[in-house]
Amino acid sequence: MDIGDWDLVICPEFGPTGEAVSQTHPTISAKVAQTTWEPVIVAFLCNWCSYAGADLAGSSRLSYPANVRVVRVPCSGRVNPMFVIQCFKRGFDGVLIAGCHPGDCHYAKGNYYARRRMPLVQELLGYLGVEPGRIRFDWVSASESGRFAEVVSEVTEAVRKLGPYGRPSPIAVAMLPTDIAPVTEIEPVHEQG
Amino acid sequence: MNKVETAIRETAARLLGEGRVALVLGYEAGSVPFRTVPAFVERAADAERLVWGPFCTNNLAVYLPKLRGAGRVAIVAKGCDARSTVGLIQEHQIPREQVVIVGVHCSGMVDVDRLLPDGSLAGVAIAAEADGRLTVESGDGRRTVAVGDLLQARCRVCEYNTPPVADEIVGDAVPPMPEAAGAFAVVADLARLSAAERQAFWRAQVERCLRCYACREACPACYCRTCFVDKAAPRWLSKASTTDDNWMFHAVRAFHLAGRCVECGECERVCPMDIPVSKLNRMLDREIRERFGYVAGLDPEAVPPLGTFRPEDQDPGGHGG
Repeated sequence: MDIGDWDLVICPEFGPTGEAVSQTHPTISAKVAQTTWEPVIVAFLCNWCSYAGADLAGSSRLSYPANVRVVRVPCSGRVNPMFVIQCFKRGFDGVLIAGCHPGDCHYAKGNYYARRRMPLVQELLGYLGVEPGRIRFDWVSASESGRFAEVVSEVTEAVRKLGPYGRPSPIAVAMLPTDIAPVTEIEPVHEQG
Repeated sequence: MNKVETAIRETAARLLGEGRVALVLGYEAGSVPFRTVPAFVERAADAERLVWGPFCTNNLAVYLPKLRGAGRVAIVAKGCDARSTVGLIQEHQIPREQVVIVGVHCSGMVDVDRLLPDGSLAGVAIAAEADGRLTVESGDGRRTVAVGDLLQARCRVCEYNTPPVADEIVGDAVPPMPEAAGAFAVVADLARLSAAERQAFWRAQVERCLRCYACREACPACYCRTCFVDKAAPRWLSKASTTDDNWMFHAVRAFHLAGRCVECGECERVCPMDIPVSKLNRMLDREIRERFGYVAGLDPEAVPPLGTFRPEDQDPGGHGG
């Protein structure tokens, strides 16, 4: 895309409509955000189940929206609620937290703690004006590649319907692939020799 | 001197005289007639300094973690202070045997901004205080008002004006606060708004925040030696007070108190910018009660709900299990 379209506000003190904004997060104009907007979702995936599930989705050549930015964490219990809040402070549009099914946690009980915390973070952020649909907390096991693709599709569509969260940061937008067409067909796997 | 004040002084003198405690934490007269300041009484003879009345508003439990190692401490505790003390015991900030809770039946504390109709405090004096009535003196003359009409909002809806846990109890039993049933009404108004409206509401509120951290300092549950806001690595928040950072500060502060906050409301009282911070705490308190059936600060043996789990807890979105 043409860099002129970005219309970056070089002076970070003021946002597109002239209001003072965070100095740490310069903004792009609302016009650009609307025309090029794709949801950007941070996905915290537990190393032992959900990350492996995502990996399997890749090696099984399943297609799912390229809107997630994966952060591998040791356990869903490692996901500090501050991570989630920070994501919205930084202007990301949604957050997905996925871990092992109850009883399957590599550390025996990390996901049980997450199961108490995450819905509460969702509730708190909802009260602060972040639509609950922007946060998804779910279980994906290492073998559930299809389920991973499904969860990512669902959360992406939910967030897309809700629209951009707050003021999108240029970092979040810049991270979007612009020249990669979404995979719609699964290519045949070539047999070796 | 009122009856409760006499009883507090006698109890303090007795505890110190018998050597049962090394220090009594209570209230003494402040530099203006409608303020009290924390008193740290170490000798029985000094128990005379202690006062009690509708201006003993501070939550003294905030000093307990700092007094660890000072020997056994007696704390003059209203219902909220007693519940905060229970929280500190639960979280191992002070051993149970090192604190003597001197519970005081409380009928609510006065909102000093309401002493005069115009909210000014210049030249205000309290001429008399008896039978639940205050005589307020100011440049415009005298005005006698019922304490019950001047109460702080948090006190009007207090559910635990009788300390739920106490080692000693002073004063006569008091009736429950009349508006106690409406403790969560303050949460409801925002619940009716759309997400965008709530976002706008909170941004307008936190925009004023100076990040002075008075809310944190006044809170007995905020005892971390290094608060996340002061951490350099990772640096969660910028040092500058931007709306985004203020928003995150208030969100995280509220979450860190989930299941631990006893609604003493000190955070909101001390806020110089009148940000309704306790609204967030109240909302989380409601959620904690609904989800886990847990009320903070009632049982020193209990584990706060976010520090534990049950395998049969509800699963997200009906999946898994």
